[in-house]
Amino acid sequence: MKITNKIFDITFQKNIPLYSVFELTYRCNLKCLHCYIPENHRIKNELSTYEVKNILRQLKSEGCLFLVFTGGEVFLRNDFLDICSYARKLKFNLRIFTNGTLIDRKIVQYLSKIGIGGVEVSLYGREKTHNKITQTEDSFQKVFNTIKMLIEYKIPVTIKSLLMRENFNDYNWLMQISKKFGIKCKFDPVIVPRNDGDKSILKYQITNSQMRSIFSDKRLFKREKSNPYLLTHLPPYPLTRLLTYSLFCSAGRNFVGISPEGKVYPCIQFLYTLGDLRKKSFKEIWFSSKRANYLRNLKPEDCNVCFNCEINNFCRRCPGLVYLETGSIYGKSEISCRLADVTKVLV
Amino acid sequence: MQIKHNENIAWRIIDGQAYIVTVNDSKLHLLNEIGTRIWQLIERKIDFEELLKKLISEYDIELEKLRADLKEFIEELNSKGLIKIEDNK
Repeated sequence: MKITNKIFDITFQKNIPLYSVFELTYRCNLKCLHCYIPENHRIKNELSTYEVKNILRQLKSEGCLFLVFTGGEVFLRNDFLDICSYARKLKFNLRIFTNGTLIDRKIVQYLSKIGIGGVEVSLYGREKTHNKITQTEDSFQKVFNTIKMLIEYKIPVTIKSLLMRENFNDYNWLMQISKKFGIKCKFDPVIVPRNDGDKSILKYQITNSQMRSIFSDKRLFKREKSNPYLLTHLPPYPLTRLLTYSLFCSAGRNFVGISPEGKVYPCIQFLYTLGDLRKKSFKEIWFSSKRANYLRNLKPEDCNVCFNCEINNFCRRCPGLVYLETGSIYGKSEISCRLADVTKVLV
Repeated sequence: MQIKHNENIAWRIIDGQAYIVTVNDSKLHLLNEIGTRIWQLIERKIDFEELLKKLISEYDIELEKLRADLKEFIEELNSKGLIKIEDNK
């Protein structure tokens, strides 16, 4: 058995939060068209440095190894480098998701020194396209410089690009750029509703025909580790093994999301609150909260509509999307249904 | 010979076994039970002979056999970039 499968299976069975995505802020210096964080969520009571470090110690104690810091834009926090350094002292494998506009050479040198598992930088296409999506004039140039500096200092960097109608014609260019730089490029074809359920941003979602084109692109549709291009939302594989995970996934089992205010979620996209770290310890929330245990005991058949669906083998049902779209965890997600419908003929 | 963990790694002990990631290439390594015990003992810098002494008090193995196996194991960890080795001055 591969080590990655072994660690996944053990932590899934024992509810060890191996993977954590920690949102450190909802604030951002860009105004991306598709952003899932509502404007009025941005000025909230963020965790202090002390609180973040305390949570990191708790995550370490419970077995978290793979940690992602994301936002908002994490580099807006004045204490961000201090937090990164602390996370590395606790021996997390740390990845950072950033828009790449606030990073200078000194920061890159610092990250290189403490050892970072990877930095994923959002880039949506050529200059005009990128700046149009971020609604910020000089953002492209800044991101581009950041990518080059990260490469120079040998920090593993991935270009992360959400595909939408506005940048669909740039995806070949993005692949060329990542190939030229010798770095990975991750495409996500799914726009999600805002955290408050607002679906207005779904208008940027690529069309069915564009979706078909993406999922037919053999360069993207490879599962080999060496493939520099990654496409999220691929249909589950191997189908039988993943059926349980694919209806309810590993969120809340070996995957946890933490909000800037210390709320614990099964995943940052699955806003089914398990508890509040300002009121209880992580251990209490993770192992004793009724909601966490309820979620873990759900079986594929509890999701009746999807369990009996003819194309569920092609579906990467996301409970977070279902919850955002419908307010329930049992139903179906329009977005996942659409993806399964498009990909069923291609697999 | 002084031995200690390399700085550019991430690790946890899960279900009694050490899982170690070399952060620059994201490679995941797994140690068995005895390997995991050794991994714990070398978290802070330790001399090879002292490490040997600690292990001999915990495991029922003949000293010279343990010395040879431990040397081989340490060399393997070193070749994978998981530890640092410094010569005694």
